[in-house]
Amino acid sequence: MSALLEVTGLTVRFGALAAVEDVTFSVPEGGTVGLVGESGSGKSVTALAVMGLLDGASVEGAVRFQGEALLELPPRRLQALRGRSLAMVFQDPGASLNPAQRVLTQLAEPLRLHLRIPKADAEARAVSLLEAVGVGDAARRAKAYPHELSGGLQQRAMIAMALACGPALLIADEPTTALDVTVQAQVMALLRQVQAERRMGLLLISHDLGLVAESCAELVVLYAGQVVERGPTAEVLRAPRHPYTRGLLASTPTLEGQGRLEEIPGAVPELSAMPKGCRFAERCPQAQAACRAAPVPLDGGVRCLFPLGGGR
Amino acid sequence: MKSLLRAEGVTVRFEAPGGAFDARRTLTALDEVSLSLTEGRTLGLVGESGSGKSTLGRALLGLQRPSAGRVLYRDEALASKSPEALRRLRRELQLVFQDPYASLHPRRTVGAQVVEPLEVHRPELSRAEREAKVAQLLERVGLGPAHAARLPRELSGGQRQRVVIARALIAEPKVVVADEPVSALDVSIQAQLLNLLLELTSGGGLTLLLISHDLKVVRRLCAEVAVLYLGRVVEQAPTPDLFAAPRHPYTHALLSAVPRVGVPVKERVVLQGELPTPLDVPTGCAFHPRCPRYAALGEPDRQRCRTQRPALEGAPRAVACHFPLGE
Repeated sequence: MSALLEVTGLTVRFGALAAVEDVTFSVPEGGTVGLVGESGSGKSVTALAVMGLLDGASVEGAVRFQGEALLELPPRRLQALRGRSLAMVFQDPGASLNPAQRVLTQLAEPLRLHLRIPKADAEARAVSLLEAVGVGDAARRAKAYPHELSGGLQQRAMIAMALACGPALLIADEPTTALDVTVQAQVMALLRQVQAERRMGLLLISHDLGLVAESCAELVVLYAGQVVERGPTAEVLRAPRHPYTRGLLASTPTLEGQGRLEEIPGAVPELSAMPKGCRFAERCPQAQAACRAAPVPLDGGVRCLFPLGGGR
Repeated sequence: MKSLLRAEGVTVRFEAPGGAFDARRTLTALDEVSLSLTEGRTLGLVGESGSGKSTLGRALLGLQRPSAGRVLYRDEALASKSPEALRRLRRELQLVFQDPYASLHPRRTVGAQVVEPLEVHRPELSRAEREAKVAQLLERVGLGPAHAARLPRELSGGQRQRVVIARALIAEPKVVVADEPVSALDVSIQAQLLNLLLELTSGGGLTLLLISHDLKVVRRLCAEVAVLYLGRVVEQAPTPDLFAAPRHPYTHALLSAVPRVGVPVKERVVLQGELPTPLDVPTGCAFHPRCPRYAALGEPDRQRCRTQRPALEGAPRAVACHFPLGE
């Protein structure tokens, strides 16, 4: 499989502080990669940097999409890509829908602009897109303004909008976090279907290991702005090598168990107080002096001096 | 086992404002719900948005007046209490919200906010006694005495939720209704808070109603679970039984929709359509338009689902379905 998106050594700084440091991964055509992490891990910043949507940040590294160097593209060219072959769904639908425009107009517009489809056809297609993402009574709902729809419906309208022009890559940042599980199942089934039909690549950003496990072939685990572990999802989740990945899995409740969960003590370090060495050392049950002494490189898919299961 | 707080046939209706050309409409948030909290136990209330679970939590605490039916605390109807008696009861019945941002005052210190219920409900305590209690409780929820002087914004999300829990517990309530207490938190922090809730309830001195859309969270904490769909309890059972062999097709679909590590997607029941609006609840069994079991039935049986509302029957496993699974 050829790489659709290749991110190499991506570093994003806000002033002197690096929110994302040396992040490398790629998404193959038709493939799904999961980007997992908690708040402050840098997963949303990574997505926005790839999309060229970060104002006021310094972005280093390389982002190649269908062979084009995104970070060097003139704004107009990037904008044209974003409307058509590169699409993104955000966690907060309220922030990305235009409150003053009917949903139908917002859905039909990119079809008219980018694909030059006549208005009536574009609107008909917009309604069928809404139906595809599980919006009942789509013809009527399409005429609503965003504030007249529930959060779940807004989210689905946004997903329909992102899929409207048939993007080659969809970056979805917590696309189903605001949705109920039964609706989440519908949306994920739809995304899988679109991927199978059009070989769309999907970068799925999520905090939900279960969701990532069932959707993504490859998994990238971020902690405090760095990739701490990377590999085939099934392998990483069956035998995690980084203590953070292991802790995350152990602290996730399941449908089987009852009683106490394993905890990861403490919290993610502040951006302004990032430790010099391993960023997880403060919370790590097996940290040693060497871990705190110097930055730990990503080696063989894991950023740990003493990975679980040995090796390195 | 003793019922401490219970709803009997509670119905809550809201008048929905009509549009320019529509008449005002009635939204039925809860439809003849009966539910009982056993003293010292944790009951989970699950359902999707719009199922009425928050309304039920508020009705149980006397914060939402039922349109019909009644709520009883220690076998006495809340509706029969005087305003003064209700105010005193408030101390014993507490609510923890989902969003610690919204429930904490941004410019008052943590200590001032945690002590507040004591000032209202235990005016006889001296200042030193109150401060000692605050320090003790902050420690119990995993915060230090130094946190008392801080402002909410100086704390992390997990710490703020601990403050909210401390404030709910300080007046030593008998019942706590926790409405999505961990859904806004990261996984590693969520685990810390779930363990805290387990500790707080394990002694048996506290009765907890845990409202959550997250079945995995409910599985961890609750002895028993009730499933709400469009304002009605469709299934109620001891937790291990409900998760091992759900009897209502909705519970089954809900469980199968939860993404899990190591479980392939293929075995999933994907429900069609979405939750109907509570403004227009389907006739008969409210779930029938989306029910995979209904879809597989023949006509005389289907008609029963369309026209007759199934009663919630059975104990300790109760289900409201004409054709429950496993029969």
